[in-house]
Amino acid sequence: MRFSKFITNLERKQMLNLLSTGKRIDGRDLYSYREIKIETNVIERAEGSARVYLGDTDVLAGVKIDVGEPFPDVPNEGVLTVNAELVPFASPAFEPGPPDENAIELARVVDRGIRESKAIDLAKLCIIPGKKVFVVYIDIYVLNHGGNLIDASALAALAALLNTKMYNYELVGEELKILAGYQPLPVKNYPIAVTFGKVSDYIILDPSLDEEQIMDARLTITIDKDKRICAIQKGIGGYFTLQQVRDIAKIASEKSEELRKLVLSECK
Amino acid sequence: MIGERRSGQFVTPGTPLAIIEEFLPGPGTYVEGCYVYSKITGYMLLDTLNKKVSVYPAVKSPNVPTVGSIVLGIVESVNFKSCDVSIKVVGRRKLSGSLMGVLHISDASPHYVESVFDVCRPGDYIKAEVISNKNRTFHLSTVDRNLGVVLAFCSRCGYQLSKENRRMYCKRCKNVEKRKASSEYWVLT
Amino acid sequence: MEKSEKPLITEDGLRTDGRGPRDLRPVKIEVGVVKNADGSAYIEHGKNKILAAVYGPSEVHPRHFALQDRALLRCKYHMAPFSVQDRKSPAPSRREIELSKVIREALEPSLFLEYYPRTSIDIFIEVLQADGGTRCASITAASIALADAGIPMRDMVVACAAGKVDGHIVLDLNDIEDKNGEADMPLAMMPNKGLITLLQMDGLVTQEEFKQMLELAMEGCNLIYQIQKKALKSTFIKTVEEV
Repeated sequence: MRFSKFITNLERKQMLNLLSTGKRIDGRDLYSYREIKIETNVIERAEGSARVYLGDTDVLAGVKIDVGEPFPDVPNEGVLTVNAELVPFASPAFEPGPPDENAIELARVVDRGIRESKAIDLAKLCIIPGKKVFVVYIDIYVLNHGGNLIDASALAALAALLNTKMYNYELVGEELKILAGYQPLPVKNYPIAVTFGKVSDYIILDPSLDEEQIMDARLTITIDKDKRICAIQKGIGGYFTLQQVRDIAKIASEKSEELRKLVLSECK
Repeated sequence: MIGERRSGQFVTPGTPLAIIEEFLPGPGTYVEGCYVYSKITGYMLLDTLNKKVSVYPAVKSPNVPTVGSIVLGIVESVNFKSCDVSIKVVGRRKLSGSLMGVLHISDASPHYVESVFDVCRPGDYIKAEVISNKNRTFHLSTVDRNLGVVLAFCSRCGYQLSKENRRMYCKRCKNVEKRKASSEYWVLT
Repeated sequence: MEKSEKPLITEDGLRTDGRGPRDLRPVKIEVGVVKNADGSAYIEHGKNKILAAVYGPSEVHPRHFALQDRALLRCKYHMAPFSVQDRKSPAPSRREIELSKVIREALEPSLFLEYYPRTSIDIFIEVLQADGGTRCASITAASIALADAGIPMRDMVVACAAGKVDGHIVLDLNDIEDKNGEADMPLAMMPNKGLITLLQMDGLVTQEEFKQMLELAMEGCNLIYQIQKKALKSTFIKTVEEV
């Protein structure tokens, strides 16, 4: 990472010149996404899965559903767990070992979006209150790091949830009996994460890897289907002015609409 | 943005002190945009004669040596031409961690020495002066009489060496070694 | 867990602890409480009790982490096992790792790190008792600890949360409001410059509510900044008198 940072620092001036004319190094304008491609049901063994390509970024999300115990403070709700793995082959900057702070932040930002927007109807995942509930595991695998992992991961997680199938079951005493056929996971909200980067005084949408290296600050806003804000995360040691935050919130709400349409059309 | 102000007023980092047209930035201040701001916690000094504003620190400055500081440290690795010193004490203040300094052979002794191994060995306690922090490295000197090794250990058996005449002598294994010892060489035993 | 049946905001607009919607909890700050550290601070923000200590600049261990052009800033946020209702395992949780990261990133823009290349500045934050809004109180305390360590800074950093509870926009949420409210938005800023260095949110709010929360949180930050300044001032004015 440090080496590539060194390279892009040399390009910083050129990037800033381009930005002042409203263009970016890959030819986009300031507020547009790279090409997005969504594939669903890529892993048959998983209950739900999706692969999202966002420019060079390649993220795979898998959903597994298991039976477990609920949290004691919410006995009649299912459990949601999000985990992210930055596997070493995706970037020379990723190291093997347990998830580092970047992986944890990524997982928690995705988690917050899904949890706070109440995307999954967790109350419907309860089997026996206080004893048995369904646990939804979302595992995010970054297969190639091309910048803006948060948006790609949030998209992949949402797309995977939208085509997750739960088996039908019947309660025999306290035991679960699995029946034939499937039903979709109760998804009732569609949170979309929109990430902005700040380079000098310019705000850019969907920073690429090169732009991430020279970016001063990052702001992710997650918007739900009613255009409400459900999660925010600022990252990287920089700052935003109040006006910039306000502008970003406005653009995020417009952009999330485009992405939501795309996901919903792909996951029919 | 700038309210009433007077010399001796208590300021915290980020307090705007003056407009750049009014006063020049002195120590403890920095310029951003058209304002001079304080960058430390302390007392504002307005020099109306020279048109300069500075901040006299109320807090200790970070424990980082400057040119002229006398430091105490432990010799880490030794080459023929230079050695690395892990600085532990700056002046009279102990560091909470340590900082790296470099002693070059040309700054080690007033006399000719063949190699830095004749000046100090790994593990020795050394007293030195910071002569430069160019290239953001602390360059040390032990030329002065009271600078040099203040506590040395025998490289054969590890016992503390005593200073006898100009030689370093190990009382345990009778080994004789060379050092550039300080005039304040400690004998702890 | 105590799940309150009574409303979080009463009809006359008072909150569970008797505050109005735009009131801060009482804040008490002490400077220089950890003698071994280069700088330290203790903050009581409502029932939050938090210690912050700063060590450095000093040699980086392990050495390959050192940066050639500036100091390496490291931050460790940790909650004591007895700080919450149910005992917390002392091993760092995912939440603590994320908070360590965002706190570090909130403080980073305020420091002149380029003055001390190849060294590290370490911030340790220990939450002794938690009652909602620990990350904000931690940032406020850590910034004072950095000022106490004499590290050159562009500005102080203060943090305060705003949120939405029972449909009302409120300042500085406590634990019950955080858990049962609709939204919580911690914000850190450099008060003299008005620059936002940390912004997080969870919950559901509209664009309009978000704007109100932003303004309220910044107002809260300015209130805390006055307390922060007073704490530093009283500490150092006292030291001068002693000498």
